[in-house]
Amino acid sequence: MTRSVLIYANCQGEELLTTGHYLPSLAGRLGFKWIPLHKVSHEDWDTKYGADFMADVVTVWEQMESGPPSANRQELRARLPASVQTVRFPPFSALCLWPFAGNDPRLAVDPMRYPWSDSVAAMLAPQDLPDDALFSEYMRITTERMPDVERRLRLDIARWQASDAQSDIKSADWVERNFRDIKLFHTAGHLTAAPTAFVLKQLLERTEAIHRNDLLRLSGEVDMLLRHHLGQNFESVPVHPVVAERLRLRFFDPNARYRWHGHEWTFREYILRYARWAPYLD
Amino acid sequence: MDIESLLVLIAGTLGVPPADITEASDMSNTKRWDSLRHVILMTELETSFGIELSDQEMTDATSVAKIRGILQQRGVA
Repeated sequence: MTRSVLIYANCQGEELLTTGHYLPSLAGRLGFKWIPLHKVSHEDWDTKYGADFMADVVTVWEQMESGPPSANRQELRARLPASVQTVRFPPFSALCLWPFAGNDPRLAVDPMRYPWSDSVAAMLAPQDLPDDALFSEYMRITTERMPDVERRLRLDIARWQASDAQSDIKSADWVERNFRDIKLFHTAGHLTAAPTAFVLKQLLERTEAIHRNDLLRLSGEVDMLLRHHLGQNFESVPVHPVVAERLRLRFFDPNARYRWHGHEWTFREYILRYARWAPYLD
Repeated sequence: MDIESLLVLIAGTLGVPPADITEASDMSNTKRWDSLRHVILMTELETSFGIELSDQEMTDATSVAKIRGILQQRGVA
């Protein structure tokens, strides 16, 4: 019977699953499964994640959340085979980079078109301004209303540290050390290749079902697989230039183009399309 | 801000229809109210009400009722 690693995590688990699935050194020896902790329903535990699903699990990569264990997490722990090894790791998120994420009623009607909200662009949408006037107004309002993003960063760091306290793998120091030099986040909750590799390599190292002699080769395979990583769901939300300036983001390029499905848009192009809720899949 | 407007703001931030958010809504019974959306909601409340929430208030504000209580204590709702 093939043995499996079960990844219990938010959408970041999907990236670990996909990359793990294509690691040549583990092909046919160790499989990967994912339970999306943010989507699993009570019924799923019997219909999708029952005894058959759990039977070959030898290790769980469990992504931690703040607060007491949720009902789903308790359900997971109750259903795991007794001999399973658990490696706990933190979620990654960065709210400080997108300080205007917030209220946009359009999300409820059409949640997948632009899932990373911008409350100021949403507020300007009904005005139906021409492009230059719309972007100019967006920049004026966001610059005026720009919150203390350093404080937002401190809040993020506090959350990273709180997650670390519950985890075997620690990320807060690494994220804080690299945050300004390397682009680590495509969206508030989606990672670039660097943090994905950072956490995946440590998870592999701590997995007892993996032979120690394979680790160096696996590390190289992770780097190879993530070399052309384009971001989860092919979505990368541009960073506001004033945010970049205030947070002193050295990786920031004001002329950068950001992947949005089949497109690559500048910050301005993204904001105009977002405000207009423009379709982009044609 | 009245309770109806607060419910609409919470719904718009969580990305759910306004009818899905009631005074009884909390993180455990609202599908999209996960830990990431919770922090976004807290920062949206700060922006909309012009206040700065403490870490403890952000941790405690896990339901519509608790959010309302915090805003009332601050004198903004």
